[in-house]
Amino acid sequence: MFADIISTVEFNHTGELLATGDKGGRVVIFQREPESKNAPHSQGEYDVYSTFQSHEPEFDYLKSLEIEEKINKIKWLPQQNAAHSLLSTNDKTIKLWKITERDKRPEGYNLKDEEGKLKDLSTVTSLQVPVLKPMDLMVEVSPRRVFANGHTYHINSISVNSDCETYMSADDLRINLWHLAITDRSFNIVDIKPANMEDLTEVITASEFHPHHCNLFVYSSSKGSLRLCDMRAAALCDKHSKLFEEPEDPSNRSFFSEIISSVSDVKFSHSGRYMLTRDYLTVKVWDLNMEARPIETYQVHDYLRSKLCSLYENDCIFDKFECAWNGSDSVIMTGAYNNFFRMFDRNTKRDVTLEASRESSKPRAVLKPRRVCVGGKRRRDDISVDSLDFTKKILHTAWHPAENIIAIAATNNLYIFQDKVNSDMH
Amino acid sequence: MSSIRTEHMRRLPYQARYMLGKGGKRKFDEHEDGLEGKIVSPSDGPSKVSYTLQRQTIFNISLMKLYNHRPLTEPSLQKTVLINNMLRRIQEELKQEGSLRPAFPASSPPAAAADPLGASAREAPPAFSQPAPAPCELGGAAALEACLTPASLLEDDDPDTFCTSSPAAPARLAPPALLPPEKDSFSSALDEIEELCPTSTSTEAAEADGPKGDSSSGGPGAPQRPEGLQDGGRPEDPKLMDSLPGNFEITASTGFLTDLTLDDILFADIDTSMYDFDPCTSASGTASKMSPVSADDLLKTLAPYSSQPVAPSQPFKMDLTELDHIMEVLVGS
Repeated sequence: MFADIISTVEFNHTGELLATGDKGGRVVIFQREPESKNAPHSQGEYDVYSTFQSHEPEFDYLKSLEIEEKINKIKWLPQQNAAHSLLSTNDKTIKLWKITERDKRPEGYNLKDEEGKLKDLSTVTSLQVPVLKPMDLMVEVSPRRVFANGHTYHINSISVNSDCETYMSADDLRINLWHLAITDRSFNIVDIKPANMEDLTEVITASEFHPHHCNLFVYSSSKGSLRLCDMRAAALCDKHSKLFEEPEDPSNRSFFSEIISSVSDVKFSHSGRYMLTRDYLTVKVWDLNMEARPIETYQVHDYLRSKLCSLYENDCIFDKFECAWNGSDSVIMTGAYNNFFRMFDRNTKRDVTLEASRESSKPRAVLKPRRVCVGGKRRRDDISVDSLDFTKKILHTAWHPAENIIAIAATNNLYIFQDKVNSDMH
Repeated sequence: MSSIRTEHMRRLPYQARYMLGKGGKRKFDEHEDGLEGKIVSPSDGPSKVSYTLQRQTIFNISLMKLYNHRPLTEPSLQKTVLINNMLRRIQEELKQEGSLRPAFPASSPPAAAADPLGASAREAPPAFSQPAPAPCELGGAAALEACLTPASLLEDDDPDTFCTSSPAAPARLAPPALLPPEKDSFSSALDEIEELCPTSTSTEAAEADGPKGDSSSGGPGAPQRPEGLQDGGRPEDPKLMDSLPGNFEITASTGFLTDLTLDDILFADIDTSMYDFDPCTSASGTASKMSPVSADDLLKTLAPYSSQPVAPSQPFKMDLTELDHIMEVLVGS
């Protein structure tokens, strides 16, 4: 079984479980081993917990096109009982999966023997009560709901509401609100499809519910704007409550200004007070109370600004990088090329570039900061801009909700870094 | 006629000066591949050439992306929209700059990837069967009328020039580093397409050309259009032809950018700024006869920019003669 390209990474709300989705429609869930005194080295390492096939490729006969089975997003539901639940989606269909553990099984049936074969009744002389005996842990995954036919265009985001009853799914032009228990209908809450498709100039790129206010959600566009919407205001939230848009910097104008301003990911902070956005060259922190401009802007790889034409030609300019907050909203992280990922400390304003590679990830190895040089003085281990490998891109990253543990998806490898991360930011 | 011609001649130099004369600095990193770098404004002096070149390149790349790509799955709408916006913007710029040029009635953006090669491929032949720089050939009476004025201005009764310009045409303007190889495959691909659907060829040709009929008009034929449509090799064209019905259905269902004829797509988006910008001599030099002053001016101004990928000596073959010829034929004179 070969490892497929990882297409999404997501910790659950406690950080105990880490789910990854891949291009082949598979979901792999990792579980953090509880720290044990017996094996101090495996302090909370993540091991494979469950693997299942979430989506299969389909064929749209009307359009004569394949529907990819690639998992675009996974979102965990808050845990409400012993079972875990998650939503996984491809371009068209969202599925709700329930993950349960079975570690006991009943033994001592009266009518069946150990293998399950019916007993010869003449041999049964007494009645016994079946007893639950421990067994090897078995993780069972079952599809509980399939939310299909809700989207004409490709789903790019799903987000579970803080009310734990509803969730939204967004495609290029529309956002739908679903009830987790109802699969045959959804409410359309945003629709930006123009009457004449030839007038289409802007699409929805990402969306998310506010972590605390169940009526608020944000969606980003390919023109670099964010719209905060209030579901209490109207049934169809085409009119935003707030529009967050930064005016274009005239000194940086180029043919590619619009493309590089397209927001590829938006994430609310854990506090709910800020939003983090990623566009091609920067990550920006926005204060919900200020629509005019972001409060912080961090350059991820500004050295690419002079290469935009080539990056447009080879399509890299359309790569959709994600971004992440740490648990305390003090550090933000995003991926880049050459298997580099970047972290920015909002308080100290320091940043670091790290690499996810086999060499750098021997157990308990300390990640060495990397540097990309753009001409001028070059230090020993610097990488020059021209030798960056643009096929090695880190699009998907996730941060443990509470601890300094990060999951980095580098093509078809998953790297999990723990603990030492913060100390690298000097 | 002569008075109108003079007017046009007067206009050209102005245009050339307008395009090249404005000052202003533009950051341009010549150590890059010549096409990178920040563009501050299109009106800077020496950098106007490279700005236009870059714009042309980006335009070509954009068209390539939309049309040269037949995915098994539905192409990304976001990507399509962004590329379309790019093309629209460039088109707008060209419209604004090219005041001499007719306003293209088909101002709608090129078809989305969903319908890309579909319309394009099938109708490519007629496009290329006509002599090239038909920026006016927008497949519609309105287009023709819009073209009539400037073309008639250029009218110079020398049908020979048309033929002579043909061999030179492929060398026109395209940054050789990027385009020549694709040009060849492109034109051969177009020939393939032409072979594949002769019916539509003649239909389209008949419609668009009026009295002109089919491809025989001296010339340049397929290679004429490379700048506008640089297409990196289309070996998969036969497949595209087979799958055309699918493309159209996709278009219909996604609704994005249907109903465009090839003419709209191809000609509306052909970069004609070069025509304004460099009304240069054809091999026979008859173009220079039409507008000697402007051509010389331009060549003089262009001479210093030897760093440009295009050799100053044989770069900007002109289309005035070709335009001229087309209009002649169309108007039936």
